[in-house]
This record gives sequence, C-alpha cells and structure tokens, in this order.
Amino acid sequence: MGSMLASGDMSSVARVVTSDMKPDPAGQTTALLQVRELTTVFKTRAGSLAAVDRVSFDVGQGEIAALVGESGSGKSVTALSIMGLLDPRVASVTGGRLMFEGTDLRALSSDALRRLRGSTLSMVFQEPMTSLNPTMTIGRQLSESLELHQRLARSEARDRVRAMLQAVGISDPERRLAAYPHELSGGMRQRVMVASALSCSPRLLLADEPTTALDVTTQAQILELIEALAARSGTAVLLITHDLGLVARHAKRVNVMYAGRLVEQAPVHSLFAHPAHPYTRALLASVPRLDRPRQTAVAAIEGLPPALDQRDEGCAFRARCPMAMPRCAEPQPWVNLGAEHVAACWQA
Amino acid sequence: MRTIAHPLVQAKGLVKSFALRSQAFERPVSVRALDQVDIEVYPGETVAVVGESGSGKSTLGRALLMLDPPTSGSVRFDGQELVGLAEKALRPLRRRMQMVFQDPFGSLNPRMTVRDILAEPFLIHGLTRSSAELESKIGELLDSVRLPRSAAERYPKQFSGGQRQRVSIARALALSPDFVVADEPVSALDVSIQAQILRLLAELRQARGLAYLFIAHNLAVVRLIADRVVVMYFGKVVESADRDSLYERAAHPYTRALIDASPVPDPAIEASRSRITLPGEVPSPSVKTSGCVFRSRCSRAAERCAHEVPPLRTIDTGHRVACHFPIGG
Repeated sequence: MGSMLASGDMSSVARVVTSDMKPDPAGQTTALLQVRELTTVFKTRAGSLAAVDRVSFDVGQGEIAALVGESGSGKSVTALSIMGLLDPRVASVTGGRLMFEGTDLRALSSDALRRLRGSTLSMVFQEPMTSLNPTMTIGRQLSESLELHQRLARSEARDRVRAMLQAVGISDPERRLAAYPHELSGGMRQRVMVASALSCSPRLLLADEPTTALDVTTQAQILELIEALAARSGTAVLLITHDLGLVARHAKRVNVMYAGRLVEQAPVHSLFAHPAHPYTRALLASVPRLDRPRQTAVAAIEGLPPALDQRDEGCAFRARCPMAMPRCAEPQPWVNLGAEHVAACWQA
Repeated sequence: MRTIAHPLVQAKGLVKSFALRSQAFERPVSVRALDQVDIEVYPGETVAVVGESGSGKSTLGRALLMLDPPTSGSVRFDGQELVGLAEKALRPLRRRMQMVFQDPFGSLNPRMTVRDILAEPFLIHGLTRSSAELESKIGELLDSVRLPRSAAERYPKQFSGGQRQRVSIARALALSPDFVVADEPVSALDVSIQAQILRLLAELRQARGLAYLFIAHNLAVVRLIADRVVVMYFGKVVESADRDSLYERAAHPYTRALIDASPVPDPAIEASRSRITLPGEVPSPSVKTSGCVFRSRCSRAAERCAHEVPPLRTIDTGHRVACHFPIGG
C-alpha cells in the first residue's frame, strides 16, 4: 500500500477502477442501505453548492458502519439527506439514490417517509436538547411518540417508556419520567434519546456525533449502550463522527469524507493498518495517541479545506496534500486496493 | 521544568462554595465546587487539570485568576497573596495572568475587528504611547500566532474556528503574561486544526517562557502537552503526578477509568481492551457525601471508603493520590 508507482506504470493503471465506476463496497444487493451517487445541494447567494457530492456507500444488515469527517465534510448533511430532514428552503437532494430495504427513499411521499422515521429508520443527534421539547416532561414526550407511531394507549405507552428507561440503565425511572429535559444531565438526556430512538427496534439508526459534547466516560457508556441495544434488536448503525478512536472501537466498515466527497472506504482493520488516501493518513497522524510512546507533537494538516465554491473537479485535498502533483487537478480515479478497500487518489 | 525553586502560582486550601436552591422557596444549601484544593504551577511549566464536567476544573482556573475569587484559601502569584486584594491592587498583576477559552466565538466581540480586539488590552491598561507603537504591537501579535497581518481588518465571524482561537490566543498574549489558563482551548476544534493550535501553544511557551494551566478532558491531548497532571473529581484533587508517572502508573481508580474510557485509533487494540465502563456520573453538587467522593462509582470501594475520607498522600516522588486502595499500591 502506498507504493509510489510512477503515473505511467501499468501495474498502477491496472488497479485503477475506471472513473465512471463507483465503489460498490458490499458488492451485493443484501445491504440494508445503499447510498448511490448522493448529491445534496445548498442554495446560496453564490449559487448552488454541492455539500454532498456523488457519495456512495453501503450499510449492511445489523452492522455498525462509520462515516468519518471533519466539520464541513458533508457527513451530517448526508445523514439528514437519508432521513429526509433537510430544510427545503436551504437544501435539497438533487441526485442519486437512497435504497433502503429495496425502496428508494427519494421516491417516497413525505407522509410515507415520516412513518418510516418513526419505525424502521431512526436518528440521534449530537445535542439532545435540540430534539427534546423543553416544555414537556420526558415521560410525556416519549410516550406521545409511542402513542402516535405504535398506536398504543396512554397507560400502555407509559409502561413501555418506563421499561425503556430501565433498559438504558436509568435509575429511578419514575422520577426521570416526571423531569423536564433541562433537569437531566447531558449524558442522561442522550440516554433518553437513545432509548427513544431504539424503542421500536428500527432497522437502521443514524447516530450523528452522539457523544461529542459528553465526557469521555459518558461517551463510552452511551456507545456501549447503542452497540448493545442495536445488537439485541439487529439494528444497523451508521455512526457519524470525527473521532477515529470511536471508529476503531465500534465500526466494522469506514467511509471517510472530505469537502463533501468520499475519499476512502474500507473495512476498519484495513483502513487503520493501511490508510491509502493522503487525507486519511494525515488525519490519523494528527490524532494524539495513548497507545504509542509519548509524542512531543502531532502532525497538523496545514491550511483549511476548500470552501465549496472553490472546489473543482480535481482532488479537493490537493492544496493541503504533501503528495500533490499536476494530475491531481483532474478528477481522481477510484483505486481498488482489494478486500473492499478503495481510495480516490492517483497515488493510492 | 522546576529549575526555579519558587512556584509562579501557588494555591492552598482553595474552597469555592455557592448557595444552591434545588426548588423555589426551599432553603438554599451550600455546595462546594472546590474543596480544599492545593495546586502549584512553576514558571514555564504546563500543568494540566483533567476530570469530567462537574469536577471543578474550570472553577479552579477561574479562581486562580481571581475571575471568580475563592470563598476561602490562598492564591499566591509570584509570591504575592491575591485573595482579599482590592481590584486596584490586583490590576497590575492581572496583566501577567490571562485566559484562553474553549469557544473563541463566544469570547470575542463579534462587532470588533481583530485590530480592535488586540488593541483593547493595551488601551485598558494604558500601555501604549502612540498609534504607530500600537500598530506594530498588533502586527507582532499576529505574527506570533501565525495569522497574516491583513487579519487585523477582519471580524471574528470571517475566520474559521482554528483561526478564531489564534485571535483569542493573540489577545491573551498582548500584555506578555507569565501565566495563561487555557480552558479546553482545542476541544471545539477539528482534529487536524487541534494539532495546529497545540503546536502553537507549545511554541509560544518555548519562546516566551509561559506557564500554562491547561484544562482539558482529552487525556491523549494532555499527555502531549503537560509536564504535570492534576486529576479532579467532585471539587477535589484525587491524584497528581508528573506526566509519565501518571500515564504509566495511574494509582487512583478514577484516573485509570478516564484513561481506559479514551478510545485509541487502532481497531486491533480496541478489540482486545476490556469494555468495562465507569458507571454513573459525577454526583449532583447538592448530594451529601461521606467518606470517599468517588466510592459510588468505584469498583474497588470497600467498607472503609464509606466512612473515612482518603487524604491526598504521597506514594512516590511528586506523585500523590487520595485513595485508600490505590492501584499498584
């Protein structure tokens, strides 16, 4: 991996997937979610900008996959596109397919999508406060959603909610049910959201930076909880995060995004052992580590990602890339590195 | 780092208590955000303070700078007692101690240009004679945080998060302080940008002989930057040690739990690590405690921990722990 073959070398050409072929990671039709060429555009005064630019990846049945990137990489917009939760005044999906259990989510009516969101498709956000109603008790809002989506009677819903809180390790559930969101700690609120998101055993949970605002101890608790509950109900999880440590701990398959585009995709062991895209390598090198002899400094990536209106058809990372060459101004090929590992770089 | 015998900052027996009313009309109870904290920072040294939210680490930083003066105890800066000092007497000392916050957007006035933001400390302290002198100081500050001089004309919102943090570091450095409290200065930044800011902080420390109190929750970041680490829990110091001693021989079960909870970017290691997570969270400050404050979450807790407050005792050179049953001891 990473052998710097001259650009004219035939062996390097042989590994290049033709640029119109996009990675099809699972390579089968069994994936629960197949995102293909997803393009999501923001309407700005400067024109239409693709915050998500032709992104393709799969999430398999019951597996935990990660979508990794820094701010502005398009990872959260990807999740909102899948959920159909984009604000239509600002952004819309303009291309691609979102195949979920064989149905293209883009073809569904908003009613059908809403029904799906309450049952088979679920999401937790970074800041649970924004998704909880501050004027309603925890108990009321959780049982209301059950009454709505599962058509349970009020008392039945309340019993279910109590059991739900117990299942996520919330002590004294009776008292928590009567509490308002602000009366709970950040970790407790996120537990409640996880409980609620997984209460109807969805097929897929999108977890968008679910623990970023929390202490490392609480983070570990919440992710263990998500992993355990998902395993029990066979729920697949798309973990959206900037934290490569969490990816290494929880994910089976990883998708790395940069400036709205996918740059690398691999099973977790292959990605960490042989990161192939220069951005992935630089990102890994910039993480301070507890598992290695102490460093005195980590390698920063100089500069910033390009603004979306500055991005062209060439590699979006090339301005910051130590390996950049003239050819990087052309669209990058997907290079197949074997074992479902692909990277969008001439030199991968 | 401790080549000079006298600490730059020395706090003893710091207590910060405030009245907490859990319900309207209820009689307020006094709770302690800091409980008998001792801490020393030597010139040029970086001391990291770690702990979960609610541990008191930010309160400690603010107390040392007298931004939130302690309820009792002593804070000496370069030998001079700060507690009880009138604001006027405090002022010349304030120039020498500065703060950098987590959220540079919240701490920079959005209506001011970077020039005005950087000029303000000089104007407040009446320290420049001419506008040409001020201009050259601002230029030097921008150079020292690696921002282009053209940045002076711009407003905070025109910068990325990392660049804003550079602006707030430049402002903190304006009056050439000896001591900077940095409260989670990189935790809101992207990893690649975080590395840039950490390198800048290390360079500035080298170039200016700065001492830092570095408040953080990320133990991998702390290991990179700190000389000494103080671990806080529920307003108390539970362990303090030289960096390598702490990471190699963490003695308090809480320190161990913090290290174990930190994921490392290596799936092979992660697959083989034990996934025993620390249960619960820092108790609410109004909770009445007896014995060891950590015992409700501690896997090693025994009968004695319920009755007897473990004192902070020395177990090795420069290594102190407040635990009846420390790991490896």
